[in-house]
Amino acid sequence: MLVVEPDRRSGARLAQLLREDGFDVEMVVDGSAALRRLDERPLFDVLVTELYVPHVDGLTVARKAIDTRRGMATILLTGHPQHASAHASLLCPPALVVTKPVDVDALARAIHALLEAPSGP
Amino acid sequence: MIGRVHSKETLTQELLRYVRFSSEDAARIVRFRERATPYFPKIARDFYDRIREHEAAHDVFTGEEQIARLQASMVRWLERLFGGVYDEAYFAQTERIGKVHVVVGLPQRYMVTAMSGIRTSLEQLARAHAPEESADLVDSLARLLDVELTVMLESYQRHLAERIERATDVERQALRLRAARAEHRYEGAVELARVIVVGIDRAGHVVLFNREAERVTGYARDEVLGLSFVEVLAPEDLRSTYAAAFDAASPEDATLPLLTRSKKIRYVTWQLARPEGGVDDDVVLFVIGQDVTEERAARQRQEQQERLAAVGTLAAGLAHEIRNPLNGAQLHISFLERALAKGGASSDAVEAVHVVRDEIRRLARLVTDFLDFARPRPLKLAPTTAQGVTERARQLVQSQAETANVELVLDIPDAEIPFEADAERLGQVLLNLLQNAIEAAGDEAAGGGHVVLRARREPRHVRIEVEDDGPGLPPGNAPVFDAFFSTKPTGTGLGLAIVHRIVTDHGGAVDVESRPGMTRFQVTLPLEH
Repeated sequence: MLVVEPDRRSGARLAQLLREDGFDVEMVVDGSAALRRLDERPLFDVLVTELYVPHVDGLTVARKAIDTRRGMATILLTGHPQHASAHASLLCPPALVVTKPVDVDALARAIHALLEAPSGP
Repeated sequence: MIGRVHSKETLTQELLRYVRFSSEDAARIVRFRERATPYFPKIARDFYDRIREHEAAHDVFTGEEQIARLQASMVRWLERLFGGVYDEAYFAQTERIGKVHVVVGLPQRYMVTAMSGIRTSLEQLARAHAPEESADLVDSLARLLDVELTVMLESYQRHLAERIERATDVERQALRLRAARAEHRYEGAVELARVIVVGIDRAGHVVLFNREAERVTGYARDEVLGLSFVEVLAPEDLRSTYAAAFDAASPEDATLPLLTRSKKIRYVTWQLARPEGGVDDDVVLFVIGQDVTEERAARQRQEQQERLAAVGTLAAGLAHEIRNPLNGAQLHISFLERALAKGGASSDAVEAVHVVRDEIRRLARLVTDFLDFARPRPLKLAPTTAQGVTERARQLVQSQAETANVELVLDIPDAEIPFEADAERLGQVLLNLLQNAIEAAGDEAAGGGHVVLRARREPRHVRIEVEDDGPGLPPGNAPVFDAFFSTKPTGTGLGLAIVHRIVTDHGGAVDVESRPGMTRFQVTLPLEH
């Protein structure tokens, strides 16, 4: 999975914890880096991104991710859940909105659930 | 006919008797008729020619046609004069001539002088054409003409008096009508105006109380007329303020609370006006008021909304700024937790990390609750049912109730209770109340507490209650609905404030009743908006 988190230390810690939970995680700190990485291989199964990221916002990153892989699971991390929900519902499939502070165990369970669920058309 | 019985004779009979006009006089005149008749048109012509020499008399004529008509009627009159029968019917016609003169506005003096002219013409006629008895004939004619003139004048006077009387009557009626109309207009204006109009006399007593005053105060006018305005309608702590305002030499406008019949407060913007030239026992002060209670409440709501919107914007920005550092803290604590668990750290160290984790969660919840409370959100009203909202709320707390060993009882009637609400926000109300109740009931009973979720339909409201058998709220009037008031060590103090906010946004009310072993929150919402 790809984690996009502008706070480098938090992002790195999140990536580390998710790796401990068995996920294969890459991490970038801004939107343009995320877009560049999404153009490359291997493709990701899951995108976890903050809604507000430098250069290109998290929503654009999520759209790009879904473009590269139809039905990719996307998760928006945010301090503004209401605002994020409105945007998340515009995506197809809709992004999952997770309010910060993130409970890693709950996030890992949610990712597993998304991966197991049948993906959209 | 000349009668001798005086007691029942008419005015004309009396007059004829007075001038000693007998049947011989009448016969004498009739005898002369045939010879006189051919000269009647000339007499009439001369008569009107003479009248036309007088301006005031001439003024009453409207034209030659009218004069021709008048001449013809004069000829008829002369023929009548020579008719020989001088009874009531005859003099009734004479009277009509007097009346006509009133109607056309011919001054009385011309009747006298004109009659004198006619007399002269007839005398000349008699001397020329009845020399054998001209002296007697002239005398008979003179007496008949005297009676004729008297009857005319009498009639003229009577009809003129009637006319004057009638004119005054009409004028009086017009005046009365005008006064009635003016009164009706003012009364209508005062009664129908959507402003309170109260008249106060010198003693401060109500002497005028219009319909709007009745509507706003709830008092019928009969209940307040004659009573002191200040004592009846001013709230106790404002009586002196009202009294001072009424006594002021130049009263100023002011918005003051008014006490209604049901002891409720209405806010009224008063305008005080002193009428000029008042009579002692009449209105010395008009107290004119506009009920601004609703506008005032709306303005306050608006101001509060604006304040909350500002706070909401600020809070949303702050939330983002707080949640990100919290996120960092939480992630690092999770890492520490795992590291300590792996390394077999002391229970004190693990405990310390847990405390930090819980505190972070508490801060996160505070941010969420505060945003919920502060962020103004327009209600999305839609038809829903009490059954629907209570069932959804039950599902959300079912597992929490089971964990706390609390039995959740639904007391909902079978008959659907439809009403309008923002189901999502109302769901939050019930969730907050149920979570509190489950915590309270769970606290108390190791053997298991009870929480009842109840719904009832009232005539215009739906009542939803959440009742628990926990220890109850602290005694006294704890401000449980105030923000940041909490009885729970880990509470944010915003749960019930949010409940209160959402319920009042719906135009409803929330109340609480509590004693040890029973706490009941009661939410009342209107069925329709």
